[in-house]
Amino acid sequence: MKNRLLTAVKAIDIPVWILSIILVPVLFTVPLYSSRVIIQILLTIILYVQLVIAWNMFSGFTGYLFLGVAAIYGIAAYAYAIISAYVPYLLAVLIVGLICFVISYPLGLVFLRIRGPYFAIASYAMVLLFASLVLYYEQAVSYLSGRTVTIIPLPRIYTVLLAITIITLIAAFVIKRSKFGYGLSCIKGNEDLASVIGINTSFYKTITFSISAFFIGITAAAIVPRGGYIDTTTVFAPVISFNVLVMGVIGGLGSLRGGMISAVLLSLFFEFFATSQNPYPFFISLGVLLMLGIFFFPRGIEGVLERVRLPRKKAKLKNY
Amino acid sequence: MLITVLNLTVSVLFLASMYLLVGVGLSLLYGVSQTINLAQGGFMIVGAYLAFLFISGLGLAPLWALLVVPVIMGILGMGIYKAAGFSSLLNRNISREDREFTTLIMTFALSWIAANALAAIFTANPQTFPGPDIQYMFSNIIPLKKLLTIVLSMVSVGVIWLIIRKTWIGLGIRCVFDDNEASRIMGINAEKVHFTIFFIAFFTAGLGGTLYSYNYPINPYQGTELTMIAFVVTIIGGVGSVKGVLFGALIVALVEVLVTFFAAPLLKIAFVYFLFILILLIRPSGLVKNM
Repeated sequence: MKNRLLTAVKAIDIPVWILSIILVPVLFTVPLYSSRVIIQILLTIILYVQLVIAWNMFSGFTGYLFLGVAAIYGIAAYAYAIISAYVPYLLAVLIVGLICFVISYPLGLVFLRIRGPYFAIASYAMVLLFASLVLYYEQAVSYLSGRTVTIIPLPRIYTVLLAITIITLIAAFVIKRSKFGYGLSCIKGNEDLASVIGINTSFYKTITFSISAFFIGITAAAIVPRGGYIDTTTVFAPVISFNVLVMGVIGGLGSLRGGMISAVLLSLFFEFFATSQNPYPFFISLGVLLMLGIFFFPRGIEGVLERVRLPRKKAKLKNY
Repeated sequence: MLITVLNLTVSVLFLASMYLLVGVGLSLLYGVSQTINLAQGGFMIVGAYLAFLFISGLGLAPLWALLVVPVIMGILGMGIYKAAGFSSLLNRNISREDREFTTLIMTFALSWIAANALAAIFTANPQTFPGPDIQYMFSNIIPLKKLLTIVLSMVSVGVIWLIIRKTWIGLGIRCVFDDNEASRIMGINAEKVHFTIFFIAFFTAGLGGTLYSYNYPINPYQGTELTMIAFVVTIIGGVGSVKGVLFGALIVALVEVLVTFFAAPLLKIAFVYFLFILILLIRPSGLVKNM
C-alpha cells in the first residue's frame, strides 16, 4: 500500500508539485484580499475545472461520450433547493451528492448497456427528459414556476467549491492510477476483450458513472446558492453540457491536465466575452472551435503536450 | 366520439409525416454516409427560419417557399459536406468507431452553431407567420395545412424510396450502404453517393422545416427535441431503411398523440424516451433490416 502511494506521488512531476504547493494556499486566501469581481471569475473557472474533471472521470476514462451533464446538474440543483430548507449548507451539499449517486446507479445499469453513439444520443436526450419530468412535477404537483434558495455569501461558496475541486482532482487521479482505472482504460480500448479477461465491465462502468454523477452533483449543489433562484431553463441549460464537452474534448479525452488547462482558458474566455447582453457570437465561436479541435487535433491539448515532451521518434513509436 | 377519433387519426398522420421528414435524412446519413447527425433537427429549424425569412421578409408566396427553401438547404448540405470536413473524414483511414465518434461531436457542434446563429439573427423569441386563419376541409375536421403536410411528406419520401430502389444512383447508394470500401473497389463513385445523400438529407430537412413553420411557432432551440425524435424513429425502423422510417414515425406519432390525449403533453417526451431505450435494449438493429 505504502509502495503504491509512493509511486503515485512520484508519478506527478516536480514542477507540478511546486506549482500546486504555491497555488493552493494562494487560491484559498483569495477571498481575504481581493474584490468581488475576481472571486466571481475564479468561481466560474473552478466550477468548470471541477465539472470537466468529473466528466472526464466517466467519459474520458471509459470512452462513453456523456452529453447529459446538465441533466445531473439540474437534478442536483432541484434536490438542493428542496433539501436546503431543512439542513445546513455543507450537509445539504453532501446529501445531494449522495442522492445523485443513488439515482445514477440504476440509471447507469440500464443506460450503459447501450454502447457507442447510441449512448451519446441517449444521454443527449436525457436533459430533455429530466427537464420535462421536473417541469411536469412542478406544474402538476407543487404549482411552482421556480424555486428560491437562501443566498450564501460568495467567499463561503468559493472556499467550499475549491475544496470540492481539489478532492475531485485527487479522486480522479487515484482512480486513473489504480487497478480500477486500468480496468476502465481496458474498457475504453475494447470492451469485449475487457470482459473476456475478467473485468466486470457492467459494474466498472456503472460505479464510475455514479461517482462522476456524485461529483457533478455536489458541485451543482454548492453553486446553486450563488444566484438564489432556479427554474428548469436555468439549471437544465444545454450550455452546461456543451461547455463541459468542449473543454473535455479540447483538453483531450481522459487527460486530467489537458482538461484543466482547457477549462481554465475557455472559462476565462467565457467570463470575458459571454457575460454581455449578446452571448451568441461567443457560443458560435465555441462551436467552431470544437469542430476545428476534433478535426485537426483529435487528442486535444494532451496530444500536443505529449508531442512537445517526447522527441519525435519516440512519439511515433508510442503511437504504434 | 367519431369526430374525436378522426381528429386523433389526422393528428397521428400529421405528426408521423413531420417525423418522417426529419427521420429519413438522419437514417440515410447514418446508414449510408456513417455520419451521426445530431444537427438534423437543428437544420430543420434552420429551414423553418429560412421559410419565415422568405415569406414574411421578402414577400415570397408560401407555396414557392416550399420549393425554394429545400433546394437552398440541399445546397447548404452539400457545402457542409465539403467545407466542414465530412468528405475528408469519410476518406480518412480510421476505424468506424472513431469516425462515428468524430462526426458525432462535429454535428453536435454544428447544431449548437446553428441554434445560436439563429438566436443571434432572429432573437430567441418564438416567431409565427401573421398569415390568415386556418382553412378547413370536410366541415371543420381536417385543416388544409395539415393535409398539405401529410401529402407532401408522403410524396417526397415516396420519391426518395423510388430513387433508391429503381435508379442507378439508388443502386450506388444501396451498394455504399452495404459496404463502403468494397463499393469503391467495384468502381462506384462513393464521393458522389455521399454528396447525393447529404443533398437528400438536407433537402428533407428544409422541406420539413418549411412545413413545420406553417404549423407551429418556431424558436431556435427546438432542434434538440426533433433530433431526439428523429433518432427514435430511425432506431425503431432500422438505420438506413426508408420503409422502416415510415413505420417508426407512425409508432412514435401514435404514442405521442395517445399520451397527449390521455395524460399530459409534458409527459410525451418521457414516453418517447422510454420507447427509445426499450428499442435499444430489446432490438438495437431495428425492426426492418434491409433498405
